[in-house]
Amino acid sequence: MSIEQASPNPIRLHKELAALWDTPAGWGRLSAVNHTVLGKRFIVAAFVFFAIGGLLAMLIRVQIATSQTAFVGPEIYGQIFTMHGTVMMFLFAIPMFEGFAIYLLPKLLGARDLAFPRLTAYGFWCYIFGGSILICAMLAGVAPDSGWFMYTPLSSSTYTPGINADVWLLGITFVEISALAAAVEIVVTVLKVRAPGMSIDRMPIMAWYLLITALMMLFGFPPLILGSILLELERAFGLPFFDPTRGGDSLLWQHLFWLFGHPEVYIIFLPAAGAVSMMIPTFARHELVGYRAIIVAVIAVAFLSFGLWVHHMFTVGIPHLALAFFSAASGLVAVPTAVQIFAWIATLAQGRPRYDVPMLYLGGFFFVFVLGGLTGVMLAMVPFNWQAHDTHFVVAHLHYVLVGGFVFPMMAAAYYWLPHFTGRVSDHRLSVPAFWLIFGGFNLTFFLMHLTGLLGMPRRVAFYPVEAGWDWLNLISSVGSFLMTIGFALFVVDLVVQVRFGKAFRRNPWNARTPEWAMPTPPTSYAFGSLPHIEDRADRLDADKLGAELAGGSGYLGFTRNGWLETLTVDMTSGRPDQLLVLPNQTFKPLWSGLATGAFVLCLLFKFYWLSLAALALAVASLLAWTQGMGAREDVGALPIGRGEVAAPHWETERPPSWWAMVFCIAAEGTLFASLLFGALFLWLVAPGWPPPDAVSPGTILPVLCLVALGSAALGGRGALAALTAGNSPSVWLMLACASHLAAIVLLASMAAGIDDPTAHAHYATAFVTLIYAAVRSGLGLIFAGHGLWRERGGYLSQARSLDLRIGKLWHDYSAVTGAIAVLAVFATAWLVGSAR
Amino acid sequence: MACTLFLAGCSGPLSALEPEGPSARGAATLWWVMFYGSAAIFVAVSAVLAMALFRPAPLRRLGPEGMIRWGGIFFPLSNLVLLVIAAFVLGERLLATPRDPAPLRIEAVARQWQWEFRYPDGETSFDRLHMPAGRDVDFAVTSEDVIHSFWIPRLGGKIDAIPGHENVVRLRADRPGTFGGVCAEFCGPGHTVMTFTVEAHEEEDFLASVDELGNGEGGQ
Amino acid sequence: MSSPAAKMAHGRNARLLLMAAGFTIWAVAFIALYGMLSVGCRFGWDRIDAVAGISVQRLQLLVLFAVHVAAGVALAVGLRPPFPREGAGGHFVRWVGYWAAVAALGSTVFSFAGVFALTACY
Repeated sequence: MSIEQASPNPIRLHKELAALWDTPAGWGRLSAVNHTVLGKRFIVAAFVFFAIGGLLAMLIRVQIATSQTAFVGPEIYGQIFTMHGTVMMFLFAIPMFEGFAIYLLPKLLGARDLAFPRLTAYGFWCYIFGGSILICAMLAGVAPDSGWFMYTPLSSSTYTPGINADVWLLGITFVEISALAAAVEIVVTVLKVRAPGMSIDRMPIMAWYLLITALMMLFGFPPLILGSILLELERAFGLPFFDPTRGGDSLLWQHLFWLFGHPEVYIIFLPAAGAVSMMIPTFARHELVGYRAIIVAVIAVAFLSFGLWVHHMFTVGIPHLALAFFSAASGLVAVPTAVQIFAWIATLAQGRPRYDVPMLYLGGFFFVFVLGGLTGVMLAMVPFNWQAHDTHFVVAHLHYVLVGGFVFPMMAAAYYWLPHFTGRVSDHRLSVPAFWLIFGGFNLTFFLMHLTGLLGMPRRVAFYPVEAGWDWLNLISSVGSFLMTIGFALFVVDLVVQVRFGKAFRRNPWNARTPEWAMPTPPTSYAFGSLPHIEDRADRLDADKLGAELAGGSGYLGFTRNGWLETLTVDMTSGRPDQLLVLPNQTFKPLWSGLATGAFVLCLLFKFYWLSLAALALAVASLLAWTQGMGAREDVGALPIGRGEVAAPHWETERPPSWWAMVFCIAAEGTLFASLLFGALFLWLVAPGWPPPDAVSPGTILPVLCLVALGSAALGGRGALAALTAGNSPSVWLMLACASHLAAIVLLASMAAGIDDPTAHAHYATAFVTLIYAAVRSGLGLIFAGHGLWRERGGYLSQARSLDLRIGKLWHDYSAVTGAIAVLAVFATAWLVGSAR
Repeated sequence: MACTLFLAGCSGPLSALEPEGPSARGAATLWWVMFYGSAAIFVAVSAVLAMALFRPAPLRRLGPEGMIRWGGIFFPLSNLVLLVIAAFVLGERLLATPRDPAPLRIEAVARQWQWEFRYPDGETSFDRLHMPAGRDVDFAVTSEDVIHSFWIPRLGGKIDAIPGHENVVRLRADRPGTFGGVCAEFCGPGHTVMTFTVEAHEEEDFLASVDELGNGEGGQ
Repeated sequence: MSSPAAKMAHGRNARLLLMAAGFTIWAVAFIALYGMLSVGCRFGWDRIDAVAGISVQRLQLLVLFAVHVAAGVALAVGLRPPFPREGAGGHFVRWVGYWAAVAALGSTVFSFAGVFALTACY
C-alpha cells in the first residue's frame, strides 16, 4: 500500500476523530447514531427478548410436560404460545441479525459507519417501543392469543373482540418499520459505502449474504405489513377483506402472511450462514472455497424462498398441481443449501482446521441444521405433509431449522466476534459445558418431538388425555428443555465473565484476514483511522499490518476537516471512490421521531383516531426536521480524500446513497401496493360471496381529471429538476407539483367517497383502500414538493446541489404511475365484477 | 413395520404410523422411506465432514469444485427428483377427483367447538362420525366460524375447514373399528377439546347406525 | 446533466441486475403459472377439451411452461462464456449471472414439470 500523504501523529488523529464521532455520555447516550453503539444495543435488546421468549417456552414445556401438569387454562396458554412465537421471530431473530449487521457491516466494508446513521437510531427506537407494547400487553394480561400467524377469522373482531389482536397487528407493524429501515440501510451501504478498491467481487462474503438478505426483506415484509393494515382496518372500521360473509376470504390472510413468513425463515438463516462463511475460513486457515458458487447459491435461495410459501398451506384445499409447484420449490431449496454446506466442508478439507470454541458451536450448527433440512424436505412432500402438518413434527422441524440455522451459528459468532466487541478473549471454562448442555438439551427436547407429532399430537393444545400415549415423549422434551435453559444461563454467565474478566489482547486473536480485524479492539467509534485501499479479495488481508497502517492515517481520509464525519462511497461494481459521504452528527431527532411514531401507534391501539392524525403529523414533521441543516448553502466542489485523489461531497453528486435509498424504498412500497392488487384479484377469483350486488362505478370525469393531475405532478417534478440544472429557479414547477398532488388527493378521495358503503363487500372495500392508498402516496408527493420549495428558500439548492429535487422526482414519477394504476385497477375490478354476472 | 425395531411405541389412538386406511398407509410408507433415506444421507454427510477434519486427502483429490458439484448439486438433486416423483404419484392417488359412481359423501361442519356430521339422507351426529369400512368416503369439510382442520390420523391426511369454502378429502377405513379424530388447526380456547370419535362399521351396521341418528342422537 | 462517465457508471450498475435475471424469469413463470392455474380452475377450463383429449387448462399451462423455459434458455445462451473483460468486477458479474441463469433454468423445469401430468383442479 503506497503512502502518498504524510500522516499526522496517530494519537492526534485519534483524538480529533474521537471528538467528532464519539457518542456523548449521560443523557447524550440517547442521541447515539453510531453503528457500533447501536449494533450493541440491538444485540443486547434482542437477547433480552430472547430470554423473555425462552421463559415463555419454559412455561409451555411445564404446561404440557405430562397429561397432568397443565397449570393454566387454554385462554392464558393461547397468550403464552402466541407470544413465544411472536417474540422469538419478530423481537429476537430479526433484530439480533440486524444488530450483528449494524455492528459489523461498516467494519467489513472498510467504512466508518452505515449510510444512514440516524435511520439506524430511528429503527432502534421503533423496535424498542414496538417490542415494549407487546411485552406490556403481556404483563397486563391482554397479549395476542390467536397464534403467531394470527389466522383470521379467529383474529377478527368477531372472535377476538378485545385489544389482544390489535396489540399484535400494530406492535409488530411498528417493529417491522425498523426491519425495513435496516433493510434499506444495509442494501445501500453494501452497494455504495465501501472502501476504495473493494469491487463487487472483493467484498467479504458476509456482505453478500447481508445484501441479499436485506433485498429479501424489502420484498418479503411488505405483504405482511399490508395484511396487518388490512386486518386492522377490518377490525377497527369494519372494512371486510377477510370476512367470508362479506366477500372477504381468510385465505387471503394466509397468503399474505406466508408470503412474508417463508422468506422470513431464510432471512433469518442467511445472515447466520454468512457468519458461518466468515468463521470457517479462519479456523480452516484457508480462504473460503467456492466464493462465487456460494453467491449463486444465495441468489437461488433468495428467489426460491419466495416460491414455497404455500407449503404452509398444503391442507387448505389448493389443487394438486399448484401444490406441486410449491412442493418442488420447497425441495429444490435443499440444493443451494447443500452447495453452501459442501463449500464449507471443502474449505475445511483444503485447509488445516484448528479447534476453538466457535468451531464447537459450528459443529452443533452442522448437526442440528442438517437434520432440520432433511425433515424440511420430508415436509415438502405433499402426502406426508397432510399427515404431519400442524403437529408437533412441524414444531420439531422448525426448531431444528431455526435453532440450528440461527441460534447455534449466532452463538459461534458471539464467541468469534466477542473479542472484537470487548478486546478480551474467553478462557473456555464455561463455554464447553454450556455447549453440551444446550446441544444435548436441544436434541432431547426436539428429536423425539418428531415422533410426538407422528403419534398425532396437534400443535397448540393446552393439555391432552393420558390415553393419547404422549406423556413419556413430552416429559423427555420438557426435561431436555430445562437442560437447554441451564446451558443458556451458563452461556450468559460465560459472556459476562469474558466481558468483565477476560484477558486483554492486542489485535486479531484468531488471525482472521478480513477488514473488521484491521482496527483496534474494542473498536473506536469511527472504526478506521483512515480507510483502506483494498487490492485483493477482502478475505485475504493481513489485518494486523493493515490495521496499524490505517490507524497511522496512511489510507484515505486520515484527517478531519470542517467538523465533518466523513467516509467514502464507491462505484458499485468497480469499487472506485466516487463521493465523499458526510454523515450526520449525534442527534436526538431519531428519538423524537420514534416517540411520535409510537404515539401514533398507541393512538390507533386505544382507538383515539382523531388524535392519531395529530401524532402522525408530528411524526412526519419530526422526520422532515432531519434534513434541517443538512447539505450546504454553497458549492464546494471536489475535495481531497487522501492518496492524491479527490471526490465531491455526496450532495453535489447525481446518485448519492439517499437517492438509492429512495429507489429501494420505492421497491418496497411497490411490493406493498402490488400485494394489495394481488389481494383484490385473489378475492375476485377465490373468495366466497362474489360477485357483489353492484360493481363500483368510478364515473368518468373524476378519473380522467385524476389522471391529468397525477401526470402534471410528475411533470412538475421533472420540470423543477430541469429548471434547476439549467440554472433557473424551480419554484414554479414545484408549485405546480404541489397543486397537482393536492388536486389528485382531492379527486382520489372524492372517488373513494363515491363508493356507497365500503363495509358492505370486499369489492367496495378494496376499491376504497386502493384509492385512499393512492391519495396517501400523493400526500407524500405533496410533502416532497413542498420540501423542495422549503429547501430552495433556504438556499440549499443549486445547479450542482439538486439532490432534494432528484429524490423528489423519483417519488413524483412513482406516485403518478402507481396512482394511475390504482385508478385503472378500480375500473378493471369493476369490469371483472360486471362481466362475472 | 420397522417401528418396533426402533421404538417401543409407534402405536396410539392417533398414530399416523399405525395406518388403518390407504391414505394413511401411503403417507406412512413415504415417511419410512424418507426416514431411512434421511438417516443414510445424514450419516454420509457427517462422514464427509469427519473426513474433511481428520482425513482430508481423498477430498482434496476431489477438489473443491468436485465437492460442490457432487455433494452440493448432483447428489441432492438426484435424490430430490426420485422423491418428488414418488410423492406426486402418491398424491395423485389420494385426490378426491370426481368419479362414477360417486363415493359416499358425508359433510363435516366445524364450529367452535364441535363437529357436526351430516349424512346423505339428512341425519346428523355430533362429535361422533359413523362411516362404512372398506370403501371410499368423501368428506366435504367446511366451517361456520373460524378455521378448523379435520384430521383422522389413522385414516389419512388432514384438510382444513374454512368458512366459505368446502374442501373434500377422500378417506377409507380398511376394517371396522373406532379411531380418534381431532381439530388440527388452532381455533381458540376450545381447540384442545375439539375432538371426535370415528366409528367405522360393516355396511349394514353403518346403515343402522345412521338410521338411528334420525331418531335420537342428533339433538345433543 | 449526466456526464458520459456517470452514464457509464449507470450502465455498470444496471448490469448488476444480470445476476438476478435468470431467477426473475423463474419468478415470472411462477406467478404466471400459479395465477393462470387458478383462473383456469375458476372458469372450468379443465372441463373443456382443446385438442386430442388435452384440456384448455392443461394446454395453456403447457404453453406458459414452454414460453418460460424458452426464455430461460435464451438468457443462458445470451450470457454464455467466454465472458468479456469489463474491468474490475465486470467479469465476475457475468460469471454469476450466467450460472444463476443456468440454475434458474433448471429450477424452472424442476418446479413446473408437474404441468405435464398432475391433476390441475382437484
